[in-house]
Amino acid sequence: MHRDREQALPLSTALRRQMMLYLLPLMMGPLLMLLVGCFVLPSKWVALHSQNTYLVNLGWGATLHNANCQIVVYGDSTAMVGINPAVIKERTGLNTCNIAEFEGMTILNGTMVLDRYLEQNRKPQFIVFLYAPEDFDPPSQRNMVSTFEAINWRMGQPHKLASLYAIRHHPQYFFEWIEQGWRTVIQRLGTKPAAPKVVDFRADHSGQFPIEAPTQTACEDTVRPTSVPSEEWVSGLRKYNRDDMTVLVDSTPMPPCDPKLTYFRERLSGLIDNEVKTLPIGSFTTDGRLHVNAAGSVLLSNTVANQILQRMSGNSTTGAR
Amino acid sequence: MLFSSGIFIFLFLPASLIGYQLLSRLGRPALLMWLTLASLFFYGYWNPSYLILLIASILMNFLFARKLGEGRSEQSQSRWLIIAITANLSLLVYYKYLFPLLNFFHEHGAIHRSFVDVMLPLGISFFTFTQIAYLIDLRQRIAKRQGLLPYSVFVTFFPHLIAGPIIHPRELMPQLDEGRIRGLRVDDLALGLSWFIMGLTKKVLIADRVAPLSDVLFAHPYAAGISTAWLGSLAYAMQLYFDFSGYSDMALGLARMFSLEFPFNFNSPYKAQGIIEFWQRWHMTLSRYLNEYLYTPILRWVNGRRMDAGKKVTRKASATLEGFTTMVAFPVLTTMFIAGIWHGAGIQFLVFGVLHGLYLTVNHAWRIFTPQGHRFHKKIPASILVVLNFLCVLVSLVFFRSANVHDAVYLLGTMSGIHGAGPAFGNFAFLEGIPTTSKFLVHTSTTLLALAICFFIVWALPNTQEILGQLRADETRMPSLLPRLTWKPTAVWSVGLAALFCFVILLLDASTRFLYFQF
Repeated sequence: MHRDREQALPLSTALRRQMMLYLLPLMMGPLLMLLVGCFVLPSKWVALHSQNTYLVNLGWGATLHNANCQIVVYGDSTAMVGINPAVIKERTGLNTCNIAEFEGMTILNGTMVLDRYLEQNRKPQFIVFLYAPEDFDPPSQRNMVSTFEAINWRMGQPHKLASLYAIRHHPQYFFEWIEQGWRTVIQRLGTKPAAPKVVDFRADHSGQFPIEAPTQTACEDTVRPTSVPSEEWVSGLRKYNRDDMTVLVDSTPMPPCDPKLTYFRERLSGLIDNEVKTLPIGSFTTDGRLHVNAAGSVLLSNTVANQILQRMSGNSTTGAR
Repeated sequence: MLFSSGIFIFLFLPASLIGYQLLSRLGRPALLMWLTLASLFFYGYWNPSYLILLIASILMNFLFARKLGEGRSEQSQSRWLIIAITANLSLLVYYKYLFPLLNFFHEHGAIHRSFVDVMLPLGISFFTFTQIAYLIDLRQRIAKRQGLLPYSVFVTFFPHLIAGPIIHPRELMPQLDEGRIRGLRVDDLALGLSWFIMGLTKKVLIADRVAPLSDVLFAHPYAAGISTAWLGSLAYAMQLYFDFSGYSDMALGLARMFSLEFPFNFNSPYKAQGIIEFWQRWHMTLSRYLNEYLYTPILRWVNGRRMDAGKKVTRKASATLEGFTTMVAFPVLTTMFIAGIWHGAGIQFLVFGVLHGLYLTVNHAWRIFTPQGHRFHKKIPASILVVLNFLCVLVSLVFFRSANVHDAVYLLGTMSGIHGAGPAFGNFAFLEGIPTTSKFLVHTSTTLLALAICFFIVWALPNTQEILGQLRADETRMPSLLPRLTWKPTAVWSVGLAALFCFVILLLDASTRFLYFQF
């Protein structure tokens, strides 16, 4: 019944204790869910049982030890899907690793995967940073990508508190990760772990993550945000230009019919080491992010190989650096 | 910030409660200041720029209030009240109606240029209405003039700021007085949190789960067959019910955590046996507001004119056709017409309001012309009345949810079979757009089961305040299948609600805005 507020009496100690005990599970239950989630969700078990190829292969580059590649390609999903290390090796004779990640990882975790790779391997001769033209301003991309996998990888790294601190400006990412993660755990309880071909997907493709999707036929569906490339962010990538490593910061190609082609060519001119090249529309897939297909992959990988060959011969013709 | 978001549940709410408790040692001004700041933060988190609007509105009305109440001449008070109401309504009209209205004229060729709508500030209707009520109550000497801090809490207190309940000064102000407002009480915290969890469950576990079906139907009304039209409309009726009653439960629970009591806003409206009763149970504080600040003044004006003309204003007079038309139908229709406009700038909302005005008029006619004990009354079972009432409401909700009147009329035509049976539910192409968290909605059998569960909860179970034992002394529980289901702070309730809370949290990221936020 409605309590008369004027006559609200102090609670007896016993009643207070009863109420405290009542509140304990209500408050601690959700908090425990968050806390335990920080340890359970990034575990190998969840990744394997999710049977999600992305999740299982997340941060593949950071797992490499003594791979000692002479060319390391890092960047967003356009690089991850598009660069075939075998093509580059064939053209340059240099052992190549594609350790690029999809956009969520690069936005949230920056170059952590690359840093981990460099700690565990001999320094490469070349680091090629390859991003879609609109991704040279990572903050503007936040609305476009799922961050679940990215946070899952990040929280699986040592120093969880530091990882939490890193997403302090976007706390909703953390809660969404917990919510989606626990749902995945519940749905996957009792399922078999992913098959070896899923687990070793990237290793089996030399790091490339080819995606099968129908070929793009027109530019009508290509909607790129009008992001403004960040000079500061590109400068951050160039800091790897040390220890005899040569850094190339490149943009992945666009279809000639892309309405933003001229915009990004102008915006990225002088900022990156290649120019925004074009590939035929038939080189791209319809998966929503303009990734290249198998044919496009060969063209893109050859473009990067040509650039490296030019550098090796000391005959750089494109870009300012 | 949504009540049904991780940020609110895990960060804002604990921080505001802890701060409140810590500051309780410093006395009333510190508590009021904390509640104001927390509420402004809550509001500004959505869009900081509209914080200025809210603060300006509070300051403006606070200054208007200085011109009203004791110590002022009657004439001056009336003048200032008119100015204050005009200023408040102008703000509301600018943000809510002006540009949609200009664009309406543009679409019909009355003016040449179109306009970009301004973004509607969240809760503008609610904080405007709350403040107008305060000014009118001051003018009528029902409320006392308040200091800036308690007034700010009265307007901004976050549990009611965005979507009500619409609070009377006399309900909240006394609770903010010296000696009444103090730190947290563990019993209120336990009750409030339980109330909040029940509301959150309604919102996240039911409303948001059935919502995708109504979304796809009302987005593509011309592609639906009769079965899809019915299932989608019923899904919307359930979505709106659980969304709004869930919100109201959360608001009441949150306020109770701070040991503050809000009036009930929802009381099993779909159990109503008539439209009059429906409006006494649905958005109760809005109905009360409309009754006190619209219907009653209109009725007084009508009665005054009748008396001036030498006509009677008695109950008996209202039982004549002329008396009924002027003393009942006119005030009811006018009030509901305005209520319809309040819900939004669109003809469909106006139709919704007028339709309810007509329903109410018919219900009043039944009440007046067939008084208690009439031979007609015992012939209709209560269950038939409940279903009939629900169907009337359902028709109005089709207008309420549709993008325009044309869509609504077409959909009602489909529901009535005018357009034939159409494609079966399973063949409705747009079911593909239903998210994975509501995938049960793509099959007829599971959709029917989900809606049956909703109806069971709505019609057969006690409501939240009944379960929580929060009915007033003069109220009794409505008939239900679980008449003894009553919350107690026991281990069973604690573990059960904690499990429910955790389960609901798993679906928070698939939660959406509250429907009443748009008003």
